[in-house]
Amino acid sequence: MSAPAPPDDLRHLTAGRVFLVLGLMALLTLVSLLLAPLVGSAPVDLRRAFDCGRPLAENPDAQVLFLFRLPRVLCAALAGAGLAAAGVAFQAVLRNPLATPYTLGVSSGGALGAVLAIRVGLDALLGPVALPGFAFAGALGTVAVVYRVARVGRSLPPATLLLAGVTMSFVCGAFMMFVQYSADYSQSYRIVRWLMGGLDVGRPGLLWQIFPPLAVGLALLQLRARDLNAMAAGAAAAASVGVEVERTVRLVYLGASLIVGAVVAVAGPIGFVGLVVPHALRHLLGPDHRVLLPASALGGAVFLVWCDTIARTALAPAEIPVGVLTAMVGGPFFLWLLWRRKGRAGIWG
Amino acid sequence: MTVPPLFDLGAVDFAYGTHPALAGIDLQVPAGEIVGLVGPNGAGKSTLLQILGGLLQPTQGTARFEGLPLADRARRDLARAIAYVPQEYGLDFPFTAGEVVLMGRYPHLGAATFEGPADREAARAAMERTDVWPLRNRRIDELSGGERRRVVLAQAFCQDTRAILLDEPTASLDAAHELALQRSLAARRDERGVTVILVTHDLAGAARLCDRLVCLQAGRVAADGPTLETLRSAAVARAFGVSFHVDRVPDGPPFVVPLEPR
Repeated sequence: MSAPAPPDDLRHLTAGRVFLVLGLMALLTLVSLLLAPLVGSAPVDLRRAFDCGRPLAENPDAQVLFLFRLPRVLCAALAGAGLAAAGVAFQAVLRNPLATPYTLGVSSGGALGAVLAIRVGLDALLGPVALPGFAFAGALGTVAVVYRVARVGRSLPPATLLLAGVTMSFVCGAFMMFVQYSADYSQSYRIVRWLMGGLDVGRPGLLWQIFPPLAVGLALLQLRARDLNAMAAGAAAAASVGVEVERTVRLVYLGASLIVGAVVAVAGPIGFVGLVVPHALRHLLGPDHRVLLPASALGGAVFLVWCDTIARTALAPAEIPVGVLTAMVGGPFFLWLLWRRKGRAGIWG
Repeated sequence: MTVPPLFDLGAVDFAYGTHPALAGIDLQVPAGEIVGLVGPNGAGKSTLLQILGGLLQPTQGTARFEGLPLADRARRDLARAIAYVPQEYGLDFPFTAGEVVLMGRYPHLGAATFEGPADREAARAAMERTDVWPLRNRRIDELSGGERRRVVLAQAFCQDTRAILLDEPTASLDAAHELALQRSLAARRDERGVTVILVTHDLAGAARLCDRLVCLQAGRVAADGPTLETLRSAAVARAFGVSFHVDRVPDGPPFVVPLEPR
């Protein structure tokens, strides 16, 4: 009596699956990038917008489409991609599905850096590198503090981590209020408006401010995607399958802080993108970071493009800052995740 | 013997901050040996195992593997030679058991390649060996402690290394799977000359499986020698504060009974 050979249906990630998933996500992103600029309070006549006979200065349809809406949609896409990818990376390295740039205080740290730059007037002095540079320094500094405070021996208890992150958020928030209090009227207005998180940047030039650090950061994270799988099981387990743990942690913090700094400098602190998008995609695609990371970047782009479209049209001609909108959606979602965890063994239980 | 020992520790000290954990450890393990690290709680067994695996660096002294200092070896090269199974394997993400086992193939994969048919076959053989193939597509965070342990053991087998280091491998296993694990470890040694070093509190299991026992006490080697002889030694009785009666089941394996000191 010979037993039949067991079926070989071992599920795991293959190159074909990665291409399929990312192809579909890229298509979705492209469609969003093409459709979202057409939505808005002022109607745009496409035929007139694309009329090459008329110079741009005399073509209001083209101006609205190409000078205002398209840069803004692209900016939303870049910011969303960065925040979602940074969220995935933090979650893997800190072994906590609830870690995000926002809950870790990294966004606030970056924001404090940027607010300081505005207050001291460095943005006028140093030009376009001041804000992202200071935001990056603030983000990286916060990661370092939170990581050191929350680490007990060689483990990172999730509760301590979140507490440390939230505390850092408050500390940075307090310093920001202090800075703002000491600022003059026009600086103070700029700081408040910027802190609400908005993508109404209006200048296509800002895209070039956000794109290079974002591209470098995303590339750094993607290079470590497979290592992140092993890191999710802990430092010792990762090292035993060949991961250079310390170097991976440093590179991921560097990459994620670059991204968060760049995004925060341009768009202000926009919360919960790094939580909602990775969580949903992990359910759909599984936790393998080789696909989860790029898929989250694309998913984050789509998510924030449409959030921002709602933000600028729902109460037109008034605008809701998009950071307010994502917090109103993402905050309750976060609470629901915590609620669901109750009485279960694991966060994913 | 002209071949250098596979593992070679010379005068190794280790401290966690200012708290000393190991002092003056000399230990040579030749290829193909099965060694049990035993001792009372807090003796430094797990620390020693991590130094052997290159996961911790000695604060003093040298730790060599195949004649080369462990600290100088790339992590990836070591991972192709030494598999390490930690005591706790916490994973808060919904990986499947099969995906976790396939992580054992990571050190063998190129930078941008995915697991191929050979890797799948290795994973399957390893999972059949530890009896977790039926769980292959189940989420690891939904498995019981013993099942998860067997999945991580399958990962170590799948890694296909010359040495396997295990921290309390039988701690949450039932009797049948405990015996099966001992059988697979012995088979790895017999068939491929794999060196096995394990930390354990299960002295009866160690008596059945190990060629040699190293007993630690307060960060020092208290006794080191052939298993049964060492278990009966006065040094081991002193280290544990109890003595051990060692006997054999007629025509069967040895067994160990701890006795109150007289």
